[in-house]
Amino acid sequence: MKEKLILLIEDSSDDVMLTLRAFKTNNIVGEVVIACDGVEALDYLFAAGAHAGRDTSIMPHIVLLDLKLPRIDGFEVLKRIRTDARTRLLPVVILTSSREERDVLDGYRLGGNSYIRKPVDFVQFSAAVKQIGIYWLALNESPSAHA
Amino acid sequence: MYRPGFSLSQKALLALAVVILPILVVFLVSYQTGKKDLEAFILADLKLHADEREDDVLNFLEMHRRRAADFASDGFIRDGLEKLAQDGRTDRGRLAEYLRKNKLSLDKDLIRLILFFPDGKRAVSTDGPDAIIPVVNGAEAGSAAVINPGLDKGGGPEIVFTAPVRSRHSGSPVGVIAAFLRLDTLDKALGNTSSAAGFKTLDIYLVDKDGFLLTKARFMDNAVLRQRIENALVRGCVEKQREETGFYENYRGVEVAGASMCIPSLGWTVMVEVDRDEALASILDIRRYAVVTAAITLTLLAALYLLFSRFVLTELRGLTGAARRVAGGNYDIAVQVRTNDEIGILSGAFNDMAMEIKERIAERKRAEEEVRRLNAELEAKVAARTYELKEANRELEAFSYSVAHDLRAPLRIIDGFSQALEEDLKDGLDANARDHLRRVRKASARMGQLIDDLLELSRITRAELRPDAINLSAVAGAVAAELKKAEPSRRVEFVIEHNLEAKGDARLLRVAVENLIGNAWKFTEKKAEARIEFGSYGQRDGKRVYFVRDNGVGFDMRYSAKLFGAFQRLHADTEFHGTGIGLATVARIIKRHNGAVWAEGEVERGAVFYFTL
Repeated sequence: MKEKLILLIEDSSDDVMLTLRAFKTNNIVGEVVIACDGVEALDYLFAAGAHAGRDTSIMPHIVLLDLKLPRIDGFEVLKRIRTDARTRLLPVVILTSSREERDVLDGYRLGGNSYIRKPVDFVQFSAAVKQIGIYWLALNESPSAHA
Repeated sequence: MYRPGFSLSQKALLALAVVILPILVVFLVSYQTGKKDLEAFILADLKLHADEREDDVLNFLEMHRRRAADFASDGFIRDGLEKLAQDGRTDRGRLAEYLRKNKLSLDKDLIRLILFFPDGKRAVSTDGPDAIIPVVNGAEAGSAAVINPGLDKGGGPEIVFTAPVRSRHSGSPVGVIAAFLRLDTLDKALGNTSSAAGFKTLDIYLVDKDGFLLTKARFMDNAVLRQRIENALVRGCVEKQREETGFYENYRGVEVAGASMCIPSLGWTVMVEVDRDEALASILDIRRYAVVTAAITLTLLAALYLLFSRFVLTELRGLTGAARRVAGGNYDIAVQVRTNDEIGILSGAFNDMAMEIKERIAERKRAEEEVRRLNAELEAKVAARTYELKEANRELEAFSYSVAHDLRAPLRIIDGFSQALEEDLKDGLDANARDHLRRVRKASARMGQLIDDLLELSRITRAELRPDAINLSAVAGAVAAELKKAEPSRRVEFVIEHNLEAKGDARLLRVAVENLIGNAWKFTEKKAEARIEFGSYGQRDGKRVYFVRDNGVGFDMRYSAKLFGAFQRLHADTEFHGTGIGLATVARIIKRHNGAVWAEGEVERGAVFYFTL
């Protein structure tokens, strides 16, 4: 697999660990950039703040977005991603523990490409991550690849 | 302004007429009768008079005839006249003197006495031999006649009585003696005095056969033998010799009551007349009084009517107008109380009534205002309360949402790292340690499930009911199909009644049916030949009863009260998986549909869950 860039926006370090573990277990190879909250995520994407100077021509192949984030919440991040021309086409998979109908609808309404509910059971979680990886990184044609 | 059918004025007039008319009629009738009676009486009275006067006239005539005859029987006159006849000469004065001295002097009414020869030539005259002889036409011996000699004696008309003179020797007529009286001696005979009845216009006169007045007219001078009397009575006497009475217009042109008596020998008529006005004076007086009285009465009545109209009718009209205004909505009316009678009382009562109405209306308005105000207050309160509730709901929802989210995240971590631990220390863990980890993972999974169920339950409690007509049979069928698909290895017989329609929230009812049939599916796991029924049966509280029956493991009826409590379980988790929230959810849903849910069961024989909507 070609080196893929994954942006993981997740505030819980435990969750980050588990997600990375799931990647490893399922042989999903790629560079994973972690942003602990919305601000950092946007800074990264738009090369601002701590990530100033980053080459913005290099965009992640996939963004895994948690909804419950401190400071700027997931939906806000999604909005910003979708409004900026540089990031408008980014594939965003909402990965959250909420199954609320409202959240699902809002997610899609704001332009999310996919909505995955994080299962409590780790085995199931792992399986879900595997599927996400196969689909979005291997199968799906990312727009950034063609940028 | 509608007019009354039969107004008071008309009624008053009608009453007046009803009262007056009989009186008028009675009066008229009695007047007429009285008049007739009086007329009859008058005429009878006049007839009596006439009769008496006739007698008087007849007596008079008879008397003078007799006297003439008596004179004619005087021997001296007989001899004297005979001698003169024999001698063929008129008297030289001796007989005249005799006549004058012995006969004429007997009655000063006698004007003259004349003896005629049978050939009608004058023989003797007490006036003297040279005096002009009045012409006596048709004076037959033994009769009377009226003549108007026109002699310039200041005498006027005379009446002459003749009698034959016969010879003493032979008895053959030797001549006629004529006694001349003034016609106005007849007047005396008639008397012409007012009778006992006291009539002022009483007129008694004689009419000759040619219709000329013979006696002095009471009301006319110089009418004797000049005035022609023509009326029915005279005609009656002359033509038919019939005596009559009646009312007519007399020779003076005056309406009189008269009676006639006939003297057929001479063709004379005795007339007794009284002016009708005087004759009927009494009744005419009555009539006059009656008319005056009537006039006065009518005037009084008219005045009374006007008063009535003014006081009563005006008041009534005023009251009517006021009443109409009140009916129209204007309650500020007060009628003037002018009199102290029933109308005044009515006016006063009316005013009281109007005031009462006004007050009531005002009261009602106040009450309405109060109600409106209270309603508005209530509305405001309700709106505020609703807002509060909505707010509370929103908060609850937000809370539930964040709770679920926040609670689930650590669970995931617990499970995740437990798994990681197990994987990483795979060989380093003994069976015990692995078992511990397994339990840890199971517990967190269970907690996750609990959280989901709780979230679901709270959502159901909060959710808005959207009533719809749903086909429960279809829903049950769909649920059954899903269950079969999920576990195709299981053999379960489904008996679902067709066309069970119900009204309720489609989503929530589906959840309820899912839970009930799902439960039935779960608790018949151990049965080889499982049977699940869904249908309706009878009524409770006027509502249809639906049921889900299974022949599964059932339950002990002693614990049936706990069935629908949240997290209540009658079986160990090792036997049957579950959180115990399913039935609580069902109960909550059914309750929100104003229904009831209850169950019957027998251990190892199965269970039936009933519900109404």
